[in-house]
Amino acid sequence: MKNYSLRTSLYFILPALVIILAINIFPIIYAVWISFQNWSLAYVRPPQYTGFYNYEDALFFDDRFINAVFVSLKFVFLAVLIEFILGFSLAFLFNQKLKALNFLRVVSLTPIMVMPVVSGLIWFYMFNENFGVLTYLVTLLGFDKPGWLTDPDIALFSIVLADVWQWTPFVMLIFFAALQSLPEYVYEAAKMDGLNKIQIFFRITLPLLKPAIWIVLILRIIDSFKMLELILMMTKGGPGGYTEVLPWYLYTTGFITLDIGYGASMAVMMLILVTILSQFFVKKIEGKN
Amino acid sequence: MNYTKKFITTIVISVFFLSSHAYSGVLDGGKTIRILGIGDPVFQAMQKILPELEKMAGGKIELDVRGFDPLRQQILLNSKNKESDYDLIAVDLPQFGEYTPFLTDMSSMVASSSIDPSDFYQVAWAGGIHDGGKVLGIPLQPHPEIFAYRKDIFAKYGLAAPKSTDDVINAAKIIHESEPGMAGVCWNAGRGTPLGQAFIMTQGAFGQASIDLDRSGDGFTFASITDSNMRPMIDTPSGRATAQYFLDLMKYSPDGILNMAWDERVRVFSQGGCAMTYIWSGRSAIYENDPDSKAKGKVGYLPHPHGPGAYNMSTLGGWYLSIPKNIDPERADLAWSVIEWLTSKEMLQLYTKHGNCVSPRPDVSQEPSVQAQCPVIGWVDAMAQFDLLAGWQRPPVPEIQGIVDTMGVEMHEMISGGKTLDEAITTSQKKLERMMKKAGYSY
Repeated sequence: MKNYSLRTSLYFILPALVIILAINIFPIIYAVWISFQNWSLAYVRPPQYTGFYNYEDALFFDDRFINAVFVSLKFVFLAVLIEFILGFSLAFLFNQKLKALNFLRVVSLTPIMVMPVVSGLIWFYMFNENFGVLTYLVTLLGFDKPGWLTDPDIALFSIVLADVWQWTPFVMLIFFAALQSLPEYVYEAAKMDGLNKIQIFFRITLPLLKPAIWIVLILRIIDSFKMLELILMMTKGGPGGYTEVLPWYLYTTGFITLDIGYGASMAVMMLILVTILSQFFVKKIEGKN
Repeated sequence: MNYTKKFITTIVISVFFLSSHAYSGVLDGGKTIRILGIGDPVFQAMQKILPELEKMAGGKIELDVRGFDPLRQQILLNSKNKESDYDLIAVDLPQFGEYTPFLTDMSSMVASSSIDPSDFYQVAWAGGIHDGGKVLGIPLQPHPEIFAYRKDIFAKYGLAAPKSTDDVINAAKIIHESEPGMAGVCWNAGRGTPLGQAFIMTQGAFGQASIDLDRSGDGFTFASITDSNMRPMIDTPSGRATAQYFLDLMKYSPDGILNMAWDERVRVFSQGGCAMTYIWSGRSAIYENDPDSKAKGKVGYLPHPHGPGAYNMSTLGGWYLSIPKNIDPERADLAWSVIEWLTSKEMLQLYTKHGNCVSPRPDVSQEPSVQAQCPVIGWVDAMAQFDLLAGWQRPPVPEIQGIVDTMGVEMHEMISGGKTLDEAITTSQKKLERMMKKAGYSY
């Protein structure tokens, strides 16, 4: 009877397992296989096995790849930090029981609904140095035209600003939901114990929000690492390579230069990097549980 | 008498109708043609008049128009299909080297058709012939990248037309520093393909192709390319002079130059934001046909200004119509008929009325109505007659996009201040040599 149940269970699981293997695991294995080939769509010749040549090329000879990794890390750090601080603060603001905030709460979610490509296009035109509204406003205030997207010192921050505009509401939403679910009785007990507001925040609210904090960090870090659309629409990695994040370099290699093998090797390395980072946070969440 | 008059009138009208719609009905019976095009003036003109075209053809035209890089991606991906998703594809002149194995040889179709190669500019027709004389593309929108300057502004400052790169810098400096709200020169300084293309064409103006092609007359030839021709020629005096020229141009360029590409440079020039611009001739319609443009009717055209010791020579590029090799064999004749129709004199004239200031045929270029609509066509016609157009600056080899991409990235880092000229040039040379080695060339 027990064996029969196990077999029946396997029959039920099998379709889902096959689908997962086909659409999830197979592409990863295939990408790893491609990464060991010298394969460009620009040639008629078939892929040639080259071992670790593509990996060696990226890690030891391609300064553009190394630069892209560092730009990605810089972008992720800046974007997630600012989104976290702003989202966290806004969640507390919107958690206040004020009727006037209801409308703002709804409106503040609008940026999440915009497609990232559209968001990139909007910000590209707002930052445009010849026609952009932000440039116009800055010059009205008497400043020189800033090179929003062309000044090496500013360009990455402009991309971060566009990303923050789009994803801060998402962070706010998660923290807002977490705040709403905190039990009232804990706060009442804390007040009876004589804790002040600051003590309540650090000893009650923050520890209770930790799972939400880890979830926000894991989702935003992974998502920011994959960000491509803003670069595509706003800078194409320029000026120089100051905004060239890893997904953009990967995209240009795989889909513009059509060097599929090299692009796949970068994709595999990116997958490893993101997996290591995400596992760190997953462990934190599991440890907490 | 009355009957004779009516008869003659009918004949005259019929002849006129037949000659002006020589290939109309090419899709009669509700046939469909699938075209993969580029977001350049000729296909944009087709998009504008698509219902009219379909009415003339008597069937459906599926026109899939894409940007430069997505088009190349789609062509190469389509080439891997067992059967092509398109009947006709747009091919840029330097990309023939990459696409040769994927294109149908149309030599026999040309031989048995109404198309006469001598009706086209010789240099334009030759651009579609590759791989030992195979006709792989029929010229649709072949046009050169030329140099445009504001005649009124030059006259105001007593400047002569800029024939050399030194002239460009001198004029740009004077205008940039004296004319309020106007920068010296607009050019493609956007990262990647725009700047990469600018580099290899400008290096041509400094007298060198980006790879080691054999010399032929005042230029080079890519008639038979061997391994020894594939050596990158970036770390050379001409490569360094080109990079220095870019650094000099930066001083007299408009705001946002580091993001500037084909559309933006013409738009800024059109609005009076710069006195000179590099421009693909077909795009001049953007301001020549715009009554609000500050540049309309005030522009002079020249071939690319030359560097020291080199010649004025503009790069011929632009678009050809080709048939993919993996087309369903039963659709090949239909595809060819549509090529005949779309490249006919009447159709080419029609495109010029809708913003495509390019003509691959002298008989169209010399039409007074066409020259009135598109003054640049007369200038380009003259350049073609004086042999000032050439294609060797962008040799049709499979690695051309790799060269363009590398130069577009390295030069951008240099003009952004992230690398010195020496670092950018030596790094580019090393990267390209590694790319050639990976591709299997030995030289």
